[in-house]
Amino acid sequence: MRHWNLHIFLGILTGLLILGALGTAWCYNGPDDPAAVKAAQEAVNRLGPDRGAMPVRGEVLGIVGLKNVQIKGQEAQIKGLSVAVNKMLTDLGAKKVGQKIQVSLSGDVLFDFDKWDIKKAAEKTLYKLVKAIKNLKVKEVLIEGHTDSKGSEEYNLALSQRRADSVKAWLIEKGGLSGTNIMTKGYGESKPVAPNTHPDGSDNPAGRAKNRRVEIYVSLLGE
Amino acid sequence: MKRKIGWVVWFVMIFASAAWAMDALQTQLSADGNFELSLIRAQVKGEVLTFQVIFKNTSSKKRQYAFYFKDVYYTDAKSKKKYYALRDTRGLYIAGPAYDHNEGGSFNVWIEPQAKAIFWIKFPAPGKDTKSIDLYIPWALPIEDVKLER
Repeated sequence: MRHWNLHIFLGILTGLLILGALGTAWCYNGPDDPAAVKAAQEAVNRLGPDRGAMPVRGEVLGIVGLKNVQIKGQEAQIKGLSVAVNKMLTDLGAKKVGQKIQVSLSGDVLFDFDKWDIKKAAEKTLYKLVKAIKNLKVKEVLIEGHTDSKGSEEYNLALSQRRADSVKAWLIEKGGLSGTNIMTKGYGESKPVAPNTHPDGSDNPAGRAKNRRVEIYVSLLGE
Repeated sequence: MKRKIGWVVWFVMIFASAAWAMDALQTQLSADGNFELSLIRAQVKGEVLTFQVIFKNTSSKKRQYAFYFKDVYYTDAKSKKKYYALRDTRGLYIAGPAYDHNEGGSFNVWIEPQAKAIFWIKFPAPGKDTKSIDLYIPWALPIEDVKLER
């Protein structure tokens, strides 16, 4: 009997060792596993001098000093401005992002599907934005266009740029703003604010709707 | 499949025990607000950049967090470059815990309420002048301006 027990024990032990070997064969035992470290270095070597880097379209703007902005909740509250202007910013859902005031407008409100002409219904919102901007000491305005992930990356990039340009044109032509300090940038689908699909890979229309947007960043003159 | 899941759980436990105690470099929320992602490591060694992230289920329900390793990337604003994770000679991403081999590997865990799971992944390092990067993990808001340890 003892003899058989020993055989069973050795059998189980062998099985566990085999399972362990199989398990480690297809994954690494953590970031500091010598196999992972070695594989990573070899992978870098295979990539060559640029290490697989891909260009990012878009640019990062410098931060403008803005001493007179305070945060109250997520809303931008600016000292010295009239209650009316602050209310306009609040109505627009303005937030302070870094040292800038950000207004995010839904792409579905501004544009028809696949178009970049401003919808008539959106003009009320844009007039409110113009009024607020005219009451601020603005250094520059950056208009960013964003899309969801439907369609090719190139197409979305072009569409987002056209939409940002369209908002700029509207602000100048109908809003009466000077265009000299208004910049535009299309980011396509590269900066989502919500998932375009669910974790199981199915479509997420609500998430995509959030990603179709135009973001306007207003940098104010420093004090 | 059971064997795979068993190993995933095993590795999660091993690495989690050592990592739980580490301070977060930065914390971010998942897009649905049910998870908190704590970046605990952003370290360059040689030409390789390693990230470690703890996922905490902050909701009151057991939830799944899943994504392909291929969808994780970081951007270097200084050089305006974007980098994807490193892959070994088998085409598998050097990351873990790996749930399966599909698309080069994936992270797929069910996390109990208030419980945590850890994730790690290796990338090519950015240029020597780069001090910080932005990390993008699917279903989460970007983890921005991450200072790199060199």
